[in-house]
Amino acid sequence: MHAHHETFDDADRRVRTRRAAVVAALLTLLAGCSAAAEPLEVSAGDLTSSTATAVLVLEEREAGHLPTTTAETALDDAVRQVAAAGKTLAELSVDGEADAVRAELVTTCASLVLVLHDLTAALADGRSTRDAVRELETLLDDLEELERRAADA
Amino acid sequence: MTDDHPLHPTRDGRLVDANIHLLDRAVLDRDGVPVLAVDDVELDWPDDGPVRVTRLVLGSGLTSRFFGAHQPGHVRLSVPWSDVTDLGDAVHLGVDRDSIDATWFERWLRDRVIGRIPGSRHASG
Amino acid sequence: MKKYWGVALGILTAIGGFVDIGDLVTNAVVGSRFGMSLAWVVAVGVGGICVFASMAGRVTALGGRATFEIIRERLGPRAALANLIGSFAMTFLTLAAEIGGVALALQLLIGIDPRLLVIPVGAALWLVVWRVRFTVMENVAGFLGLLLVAFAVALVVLGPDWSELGRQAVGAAPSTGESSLTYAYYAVALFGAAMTPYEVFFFSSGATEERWDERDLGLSRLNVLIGFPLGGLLSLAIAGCAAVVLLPAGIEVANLSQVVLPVATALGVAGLVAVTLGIVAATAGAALETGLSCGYALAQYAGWPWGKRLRPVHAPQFHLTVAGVILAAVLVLLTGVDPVLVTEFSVVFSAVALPLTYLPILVVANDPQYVGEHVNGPVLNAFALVYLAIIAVAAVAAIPLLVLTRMGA
Repeated sequence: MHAHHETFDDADRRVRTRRAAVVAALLTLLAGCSAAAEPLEVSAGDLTSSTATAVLVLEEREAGHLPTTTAETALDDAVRQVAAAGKTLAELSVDGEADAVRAELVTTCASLVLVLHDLTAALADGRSTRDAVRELETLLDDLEELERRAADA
Repeated sequence: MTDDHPLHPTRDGRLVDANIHLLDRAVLDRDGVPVLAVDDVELDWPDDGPVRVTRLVLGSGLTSRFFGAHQPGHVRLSVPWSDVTDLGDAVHLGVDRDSIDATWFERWLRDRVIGRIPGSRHASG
Repeated sequence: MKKYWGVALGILTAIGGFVDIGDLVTNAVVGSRFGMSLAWVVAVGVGGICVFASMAGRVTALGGRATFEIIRERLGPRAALANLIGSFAMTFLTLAAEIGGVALALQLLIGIDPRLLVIPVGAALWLVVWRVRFTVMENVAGFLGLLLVAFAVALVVLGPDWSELGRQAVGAAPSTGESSLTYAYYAVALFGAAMTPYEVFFFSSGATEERWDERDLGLSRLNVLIGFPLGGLLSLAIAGCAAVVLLPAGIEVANLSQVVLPVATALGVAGLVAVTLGIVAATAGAALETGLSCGYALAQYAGWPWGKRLRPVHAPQFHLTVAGVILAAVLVLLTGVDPVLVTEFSVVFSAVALPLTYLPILVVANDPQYVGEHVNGPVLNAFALVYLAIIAVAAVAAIPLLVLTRMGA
């Protein structure tokens, strides 16, 4: 055995340093792995999901299955989710094909917001929403295509 | 069991491990109402003769860590060992809760806050 | 006759009381993204809550010692205080999620901004704690919560391809486009939602509030063993509705308004109103349970008198705690934080806190000093040990999965 001189403070510091190193390593590992979900794909998914929700809400509304308050709330929620996804997309910095997809998503998102606002107004005035639903369905097709491209990019 | 072990106040001698059977057990008064929990025990340590438990120190255990496990004397609440009638899944006292001086905070809370809200003197069941 | 009524009432309220905002949101999210492929987690979670809630009820009915008194006495003040802080924070987070859930559900019915609703909802909850009888509170919330059966009716009316749903449930694998990490994350979340620790605090303390004793043991066991599994079926119906209507439409649930859409599709306005009222009742009931559980946990740890059955002046710290957590939860919600997000956090952190609650209960349920001759049998102990292992795995995995999947994004 070597002669070993160490005060309590030294020992304490040694343990603390080692513990901090382990925690830091774990955190780095977690941060490194957390590329599981790409923000581009997630935002595209959010846009598709909220558009699909709006379509379903309006169909049920036309069929007389939804009270106005519920339909309005569901549309408001969809608008909020679209706006949040739009903000994320606008601030996202990606390269190449991904950036092209991003730009198209931002444009689609803008038209989406306009249509949804018209819809909310139409619901409040009790106007028919059938034309707007067709518009939404077209946008939904575009979005599904963009979501596929975002996944590949 | 021999006479060396502490005697239970009401029964014949029984070996009690302070750590397992006493500390942090709930303390109930004569009517089964919670008083506090056992925070510590006060020991009498004469030069000759066995060590005796003289008092149970009661506490919520919420603040004692801030005081380094020692409640300052003026907030320390304790009951004499002779008040203990039974040690079971809780420590049972033979006295009424009100006869043990409740903490100033509880008294203040009861009289100045909760007691002033309408309906505070009726059980909702 | 009166006895059968009591049994029926207990079971019905257990069904209605099982589902809370965590179950509603998590099951709908999972159904809309993974179909029925996580149904096994609900089954495992319900089994776990049955095993441990029956133990906690037995310990309280026989020994009269409540869960946190036992935790402190068994773990010592230091570990128990850490446990108390963790469990209290978790239960508080759940309370905020439940109050938010009440406000969101009311918004669906009356269209008022949920942020304007949280103050009246909080005030109403406090009044119930202050003035309404415990059994009345439990039974009304449980009974109205039964309206959630509309999810099950809706699923039947939707006429899904049952063999396909069965295949998803048996397949137990992530659907296309979802990674296995995300699948694991939602498995943990679903498990946390089914086994939330407050259910055990509340179940054991509620036994004292309702003055249970040895004679009520059978009743308690029936409530747990029939009521909770039926509540679990409700959870599966919520997931099933989402799997049948939302998943094919490409809708991933992010709001409460999406959770109820399948019911509107199947049952129209009447069904939607019924199910939304059911959500209001279930979340309000759970808000009361979590608010009271905060008071139970703190008072039991500290050794203060506790319980709704006492006059408030005789349990001042308990009543201050409950009022305080309700007020704090309202303030948290007034900041405009999304209650659905709070819910998702709360179920995952529930999973982290599970071992802290369940281990001491298992230990005490084996201690004759507390339960006399009614100690656990070997079969129950074997089940409980298996569950402890599952709980430990879920607890360890919860935070890394949360970070890795960015909350299941």
